[in-house]
Amino acid sequence: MAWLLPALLLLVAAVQVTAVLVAGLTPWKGGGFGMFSTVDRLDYRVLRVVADTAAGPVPLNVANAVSLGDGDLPRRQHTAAVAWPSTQRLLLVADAAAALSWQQTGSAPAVANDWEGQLLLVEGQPVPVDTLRVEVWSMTFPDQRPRQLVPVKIASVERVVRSS
Amino acid sequence: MTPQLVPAPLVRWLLPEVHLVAAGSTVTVRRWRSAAALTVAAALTLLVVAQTGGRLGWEVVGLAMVGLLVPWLTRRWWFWVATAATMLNGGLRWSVLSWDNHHWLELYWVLAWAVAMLAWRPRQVLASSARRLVGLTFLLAAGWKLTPEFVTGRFFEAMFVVDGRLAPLVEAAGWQEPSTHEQFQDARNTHAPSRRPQPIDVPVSDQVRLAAQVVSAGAILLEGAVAAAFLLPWRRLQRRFQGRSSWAAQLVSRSHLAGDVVLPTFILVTYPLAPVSSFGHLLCAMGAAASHLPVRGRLLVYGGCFAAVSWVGDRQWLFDLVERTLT
Repeated sequence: MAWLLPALLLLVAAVQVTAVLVAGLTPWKGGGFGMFSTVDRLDYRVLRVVADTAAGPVPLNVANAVSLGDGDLPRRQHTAAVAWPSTQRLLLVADAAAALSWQQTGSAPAVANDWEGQLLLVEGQPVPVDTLRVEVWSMTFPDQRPRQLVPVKIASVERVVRSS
Repeated sequence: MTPQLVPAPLVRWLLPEVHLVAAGSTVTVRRWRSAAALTVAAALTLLVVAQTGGRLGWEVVGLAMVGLLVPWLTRRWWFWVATAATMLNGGLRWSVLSWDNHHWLELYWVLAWAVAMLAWRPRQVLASSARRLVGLTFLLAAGWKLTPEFVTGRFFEAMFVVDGRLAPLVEAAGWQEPSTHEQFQDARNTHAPSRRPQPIDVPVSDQVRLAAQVVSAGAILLEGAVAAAFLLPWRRLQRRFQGRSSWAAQLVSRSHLAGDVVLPTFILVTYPLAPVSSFGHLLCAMGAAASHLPVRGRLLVYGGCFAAVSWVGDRQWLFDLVERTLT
């Protein structure tokens, strides 16, 4: 009986190690006890969502959408996608972003708002969106530049939207 | 001769297994010690659950408080299953991928209590579970650190610059300009919300580099030592050395106490540096259950560590100490 919970710990850790090695899970999460071992931690990862339009790419302010609450881009969905960026999780983020309205003013990333209508407004004008790109970046020390944290794209998906 | 039986309401409340204290009865004394060991470990565990329960919901805190007030409940498997279920219910409001590692360990530990209370010899099963859980945790933690990034000290070099919990230490020692951490934060903020991330310089002085190498080596050694102390079959080793009188045999005869030396050392060294007090408290509770010390000893050592981890607080005293000593 005394091996029951240690066996469960080992099982979860085995899944976590596999997910880290083959699927981009951060070693800090998932119950494998990889905390304080690498700079690839959850809060140093970045999730980007970019709307590709005929006029060029428009980055979307995902942090703003997360803060809007459960109905928009739920925090748990965002966290899960950053911690373990599987294709399925990133597509869920893309779908959640596609369900929102975004408005860009100036060169800042577009923010989600309560405006209903087109997917994207740039300077107040509706802009057709072809695809939404979702990317997750982590930080690493490259061997040739050991005193520099360098971002590395570890996962990305594209969701065709074609809004008019 | 019939031993004199002494009714003891306080003892009965604290140690549910002991209904009457029979003076001079060795059987009762043994049960008393076993019950007291369980009560100490249960109290520390429930303090941890109450502490982390604030994040999980009032029902978790409530169950922990009831368990602290009624130790009889802590001897019932269903109490621990209910506690684990409420913790899981609270934790699932977030993604499990946002859980910290000590949240996983805390859940395993509460379930280990449930399993132990179903066993014929609860204290022994609980102690074995605690030893294996702590040992495996540290084995995995040490294993993750055997990477070039960690072994060369680059991880801690970065942490001393970028981590708001560690940067103040090297700043207090005068090894790094306070502005370095702020510059990193500014650089990192430019990543937000969705711009393309850019490389960030991690400028480190020679002192920080040396400190990072020392801390990295120390972390691997200490975590490896805890894993070995809790996982190696010391009793089997002792049987092999039984009857010999060499200094090695003397040392081996006390080797089962290794865990009671290295785990408190790890707790007292680590948690002032990396203030994750809930992990420190959890290790105290598990250490108390796994301990080979007498009840008073484990209360002193692990209760003391629990208090010390709580007392670390905002660590201003540590920064002042480092500043006075090293500058």
